[in-house]
Amino acid sequence: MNLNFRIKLCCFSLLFTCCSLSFAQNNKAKDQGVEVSNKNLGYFAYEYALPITTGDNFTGLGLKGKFGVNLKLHVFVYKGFFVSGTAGAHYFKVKDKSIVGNYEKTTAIHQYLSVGYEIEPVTKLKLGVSAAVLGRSRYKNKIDPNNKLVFQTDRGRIRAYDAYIHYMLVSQLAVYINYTYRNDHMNIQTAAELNSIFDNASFHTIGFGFRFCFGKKDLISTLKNNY
Amino acid sequence: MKNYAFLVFAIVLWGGCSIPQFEPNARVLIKGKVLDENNAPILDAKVTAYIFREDYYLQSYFLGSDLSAQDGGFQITSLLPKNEEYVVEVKSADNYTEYYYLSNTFENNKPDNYTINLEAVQLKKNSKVNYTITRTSPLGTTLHYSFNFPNVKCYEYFENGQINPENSNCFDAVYISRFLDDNNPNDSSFFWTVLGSVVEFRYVINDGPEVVETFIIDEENYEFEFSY
Repeated sequence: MNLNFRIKLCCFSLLFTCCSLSFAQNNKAKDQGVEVSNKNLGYFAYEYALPITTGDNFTGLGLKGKFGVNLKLHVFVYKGFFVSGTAGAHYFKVKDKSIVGNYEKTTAIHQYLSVGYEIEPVTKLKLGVSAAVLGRSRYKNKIDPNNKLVFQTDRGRIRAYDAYIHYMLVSQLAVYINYTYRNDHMNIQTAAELNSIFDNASFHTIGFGFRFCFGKKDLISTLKNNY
Repeated sequence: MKNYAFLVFAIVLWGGCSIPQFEPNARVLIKGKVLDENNAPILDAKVTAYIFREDYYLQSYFLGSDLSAQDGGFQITSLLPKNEEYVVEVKSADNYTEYYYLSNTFENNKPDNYTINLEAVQLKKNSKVNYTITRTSPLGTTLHYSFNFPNVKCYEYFENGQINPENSNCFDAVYISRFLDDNNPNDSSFFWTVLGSVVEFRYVINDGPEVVETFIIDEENYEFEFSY
């Protein structure tokens, strides 16, 4: 059972738990005659992240995470189901040039679209999971620290799995902790002996951030009310 | 102001031209084995890969390096330079000859399967030849002498996986020549050559006939003495 499979399993388990809790919450709410829907249309989030490289690949063996930043736009489509867009960058330094090649630093820039589900098991506390469905990453490798023009780039397709806990400070503002597992599929062409090293780029990130909410209801409910 | 702007533009243009570029989404594996003449592995030979530019003030741009292992094997993972000449240099601290693998990535020429396989790089033992030339003849005697011996460096230039003999030279002859007279009647120095090679020593005393002597370098520290 590889790490990727275990992460997927965890995400699906979490998603299943979220769904079960949500249906239970829904039934209970119906019993009590209370309508359950998300209280916001969505939110913007700004996140500071700590990347932790992992795996027997060029990131795990050759890079060390420094920090990262993410901007997220999150829209609730229907109740807890959401679509989220993320853009950001993670910064790494090279710990073993014999693995990656002769460069000093890497900046991994990413944009991806994910889908997921969020629940509110306790008042003010929100839990959510999501998985990237579309996205690209660009790894800019800085060769000469004194000359920004000397660099090389690698590109990849994003595979990201997120899980988060948000705590609502006030109705429109929350703080949150986010966990992401990234296992990007890279386009790097190399010798057969090195394929397993350069096929994937994997790392975990732990993020801390603020969520600024907007709207009163989910997208479908908002559209229904307006039209 | 116009002149100043032109100067800035020229500097930027020059700077831009001189900066090495690398293929995106590519890594090259440089591998091989370092062996001696008896096919025994050489441990800790330093293998270095770099971009080489003859007309560039920096001359080189480091790509990667490795030390040969117990079995003589080495492996370097490198970025792939774009439109550049590159060198893989094999040197051993232990008095061996030097080997240089040269190639280029001009016109998008890329190594097959992203692998530069030097296979078995055979290094020969070096010898240091110390020579002393002493004048014992009367004042006014002159000596014109020369040594002709094999170089300790082997350059092989590969294009599209094939060796290009025109740009390659392996242990080519090196020529040292001196003239001794009353101002400099004696000489003492050294040179490196391949152990087991034949060195040719030519000399002319005053305006006499040219004499050619040869000797085989059969020791790692070879002493050559000559008096005239």
